[in-house]
Amino acid sequence: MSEAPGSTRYDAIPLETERQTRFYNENLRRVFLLIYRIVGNVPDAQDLTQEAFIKALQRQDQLKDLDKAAHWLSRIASNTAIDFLRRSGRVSFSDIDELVDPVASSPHESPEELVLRAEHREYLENGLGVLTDRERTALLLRDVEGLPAEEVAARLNCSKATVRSHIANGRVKFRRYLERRKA
Amino acid sequence: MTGHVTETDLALYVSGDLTLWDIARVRLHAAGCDRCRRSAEAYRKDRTRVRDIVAEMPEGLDWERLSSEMTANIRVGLAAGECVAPRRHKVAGLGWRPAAAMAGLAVLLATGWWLNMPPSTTQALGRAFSAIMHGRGSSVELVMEPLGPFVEATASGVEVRENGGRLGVGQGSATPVAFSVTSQGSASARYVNGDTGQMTITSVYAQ
Repeated sequence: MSEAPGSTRYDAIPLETERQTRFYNENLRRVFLLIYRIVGNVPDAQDLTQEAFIKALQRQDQLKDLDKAAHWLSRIASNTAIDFLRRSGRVSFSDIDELVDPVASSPHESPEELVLRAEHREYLENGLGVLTDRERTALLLRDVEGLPAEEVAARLNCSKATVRSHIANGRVKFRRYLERRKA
Repeated sequence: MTGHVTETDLALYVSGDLTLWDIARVRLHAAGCDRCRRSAEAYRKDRTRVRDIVAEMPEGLDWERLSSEMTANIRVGLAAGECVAPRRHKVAGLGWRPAAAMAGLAVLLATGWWLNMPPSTTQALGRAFSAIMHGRGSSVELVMEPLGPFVEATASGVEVRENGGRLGVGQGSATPVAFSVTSQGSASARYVNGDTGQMTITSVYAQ
């Protein structure tokens, strides 16, 4: 099956049903971004995203209910990323080290607005960079994935009190970073 | 309230990660304290900021190319997984050839059994089948006339019958206690004399 340049042919995945194809399409971007924010760099995020989807798609019995399957996939993805962090000791959260093509700009944004937007994003991303891996992971699982503290604790293999501590420290550090930058 | 809410409590309050008592305490304090209320609002907005950052692609990343690459790699990974996965062996249904062979074997065994039966038995069976086929009577009595010695244990003793003759070992007034008959052609009986309590065991073997 040939792929047109620049297009994503998700139907090239050897999935048996339309439901499985839809599952893949709906979750690829979200899972990649979650893992990327945990591990902090694109190459590792790519590898781990692939690993998470291969694990998930090999268990087709779990894909009957797509909502539950998405939640289950998130668990696989975050566990894969957390295990990676454990194995590697520490993954530094660095700036993006891969510039492939210039990002497509909105025709409605002026160059100044583009620069401001980019600076603002970099400024916010750096705010996440001041957190430890566990604080950032706890924050992502709680605030982005919307998991209750108990489940975050289970995924991080720690107590609920410890998770609350990570979440609180993460939020306080992020707040103080923003206040310093504003000042 | 003598003091402000701690930063930690405010940070946890905005996501409901405090106990019910602490949530009520912070809410009550923030209702009357501008500083803590503004801090809580800032933490609430920070949660939205984090969600917004995470939803955006990293700067300069070509998502189309990256997603195509990941899709291709996932395809390869799944195919590789299929190659190394243990095969699920299907239980094959019996084809007609094995079934025919087993049917033939069954006929052979049945024929061998029929040919090795004593003639009187086969004759009796034959009469019974004939009666059934021709519908003679509503019931068919099948009488097996054994060929060779026949040993029977009864209440009066153990008896051997062969070719119309019989030989018995009686127990008279003894009370029979137990009978046993073996498939090897023997019979055994135990009798207890009600007057003397004497037990007699009689065993007869047919060979």
